[in-house]
Amino acid sequence: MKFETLSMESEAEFSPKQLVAEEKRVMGLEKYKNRITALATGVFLLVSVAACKTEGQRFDEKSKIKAEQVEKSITGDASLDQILEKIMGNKLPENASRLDEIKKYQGATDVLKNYARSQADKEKMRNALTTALQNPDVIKDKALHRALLEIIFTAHYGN
Amino acid sequence: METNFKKISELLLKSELSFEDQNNLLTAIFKVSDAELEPMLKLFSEKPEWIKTISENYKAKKLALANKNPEGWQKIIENEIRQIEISQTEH
Repeated sequence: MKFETLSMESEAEFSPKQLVAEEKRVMGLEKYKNRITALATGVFLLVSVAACKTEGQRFDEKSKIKAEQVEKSITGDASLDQILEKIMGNKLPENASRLDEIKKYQGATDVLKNYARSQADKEKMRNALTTALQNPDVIKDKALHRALLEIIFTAHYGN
Repeated sequence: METNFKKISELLLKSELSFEDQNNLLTAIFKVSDAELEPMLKLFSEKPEWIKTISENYKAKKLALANKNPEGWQKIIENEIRQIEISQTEH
């Protein structure tokens, strides 16, 4: 099976939007009616969207600009402290254990809700948390990872 | 109220995926809205064996995108179709 959009050679045409649209067309075929296969086709599509988003290729030019601005200030090389400061909007106390500081914020729904008033702020927070989840210090320390996940569980509302 | 994201996260953390793969998929699904995660939650709850398939698929797609490789992406989609058709014949 060949997809017309994917046979184009121009790099500009290899856009996430087109890829997902084409996949949607193929996966939307009537023959996949079985419940599990229908769920699986939906999830394959969802994963395409997620892959596009995690590669920083946004569908919306406006959100692309916002995301780039945020990602410039929080790079993959940022320290965990820097990331947390961005998330929480203030400096961490000196000598504070990062894990303790994170734990302190567990369930801090009000802080997060106040922080993420607008859609742009939500996107900012989401980017910061996503970056933090990929931080090598977090990946090395399962307790820290779990603590960060708890923050994400709290933050993951309203989308 | 528990979000779909939280429920899926718990399933992923209990899965046989490596910690790195669990974390990669968690990072990806955090980018998607909670309502859109409904089919993923249903699929993973009913057929946990799909977790590995979806994780492998995600990694492959991410790599194809990073390398701007349309042929690679096309192969992934063809593979998805095969996986779905195999699954269809099993039911």
